[in-house]
Amino acid sequence: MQRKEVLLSRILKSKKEREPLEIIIETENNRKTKEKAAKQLRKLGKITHVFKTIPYISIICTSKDAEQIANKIYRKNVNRIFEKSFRNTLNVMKSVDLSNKFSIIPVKSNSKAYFRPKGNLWNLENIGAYKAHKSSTGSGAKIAIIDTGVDYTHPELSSNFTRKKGHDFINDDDNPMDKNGHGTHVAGTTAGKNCGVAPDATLYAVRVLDENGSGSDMTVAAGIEWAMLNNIDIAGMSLGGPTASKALEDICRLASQNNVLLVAAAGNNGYGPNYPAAFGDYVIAVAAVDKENEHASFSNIWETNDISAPGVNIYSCYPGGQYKVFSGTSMSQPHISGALGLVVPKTRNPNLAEETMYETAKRLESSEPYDNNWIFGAGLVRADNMLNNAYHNRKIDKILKRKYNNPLKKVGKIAWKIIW
Amino acid sequence: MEEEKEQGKNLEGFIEGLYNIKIKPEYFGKDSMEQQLKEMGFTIKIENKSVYTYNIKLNIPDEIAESEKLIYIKEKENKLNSLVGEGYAVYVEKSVEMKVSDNDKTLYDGSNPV
Repeated sequence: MQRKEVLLSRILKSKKEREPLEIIIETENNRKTKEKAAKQLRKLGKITHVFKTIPYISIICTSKDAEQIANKIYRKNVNRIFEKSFRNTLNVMKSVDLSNKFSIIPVKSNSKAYFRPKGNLWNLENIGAYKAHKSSTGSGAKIAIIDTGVDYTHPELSSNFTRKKGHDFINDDDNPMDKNGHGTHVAGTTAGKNCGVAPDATLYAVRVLDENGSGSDMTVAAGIEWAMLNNIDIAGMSLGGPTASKALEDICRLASQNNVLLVAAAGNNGYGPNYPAAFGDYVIAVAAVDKENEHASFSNIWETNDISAPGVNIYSCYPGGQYKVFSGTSMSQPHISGALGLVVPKTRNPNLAEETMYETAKRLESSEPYDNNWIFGAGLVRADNMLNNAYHNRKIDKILKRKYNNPLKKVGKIAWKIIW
Repeated sequence: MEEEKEQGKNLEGFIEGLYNIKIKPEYFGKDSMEQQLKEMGFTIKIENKSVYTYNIKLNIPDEIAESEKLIYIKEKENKLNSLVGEGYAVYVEKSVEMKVSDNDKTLYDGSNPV
């Protein structure tokens, strides 16, 4: 305990007073006590998680407040006003710890100081994600991970989730915890703090596949409907089947008409359709490339492919605070969801974001005897170019709207004059 | 033969005993419709209100012998399809299996860059 205290006080002293810091507070293991403590702590900062089964609460607050909490717990002098405001809460606290004590980097919105092991994360480099982060980190985007659920307590992901975590359509409850690992990996690439394309996007886990990674077209349809009814901007689906289903197509059409961008994996059979990705008009189908931007041998070649992204040896999150390397078009899909998540908050126009993605993709070529569009779609996604163009397109869009506001009305007036 | 049949099923990707039925909007959610499906031997698993579709499971009673199962299923499918002819439903289809699209999983201990 003494060593921890020394380490913590040294770190806290080195921080500026107003610098935000994520800390983990240990309380008495009693649900009511935890809830009361959390209620009080909300005055201090943003509660990122109140753990249900273990006696911990994580909170982002200033380092000055974190120091006051630590001082109280370790029986040092505390500012009287601070102590008065939080007396009851402070009494039920047992210890305080930095949430990320190994890297000692605070979890902070719009921070440029995220820990980025670039050697591992070539995928983010290849799509221009780091450059894009200078303009957008996805704050304001709502992305649903329609998958096996997500471990929303993973340190990379916990701050992407709000109180509403999503929905579990396998057990029909509101706890979409991942029991497979696939969805957590996908979520990590979409919006993980270190390994994600849109690290500040808000995530929602929609569990439609069970612990074996299996479900039905209608659990997926239920997930899409949930996304639509909850005003989600982008719904990522790293899943599929070789057979089309009318019911699934119906809901994809409806969600697309309601401005939900549906993004799906092109499939891993090498050739042929994979649904829902192959519902061409309503779903963005994502093919996989490797580190050298070559076609990944497993990635389905098909006429509905729209865009490509890295999908071979992708490093991302795994339940229990772990990391793993997976391959598949499942891993390509979240790069696109993330890239759209960077642009959508800037344009507030999903169609414009999608169009911009195709316009700015890096064209790829293959020596294989197939049309390049069938292999790669428009090419490799470039998040940085997407953002540059989105600003430009939005400007043009605004000018056009201002200049030609209600053009039909004006034409109507002219026609009326001529006739009469 | 049995293995071939199993392979065929996997290729088509259908889930045995699970169906999607799109109901005409005026009948969707009505107790009478749900009761009718129940009486035909189906349980509603998922209701998708936005597209007026039920995902239903066929319950096969234990007393049906293994050799008679296929005939039983066919008979129930015909009954289900008759709802389209009678003007209650728009279409009936077999439910399709969905799976994760990962190709390969490798444990990574975090020590070496990939």
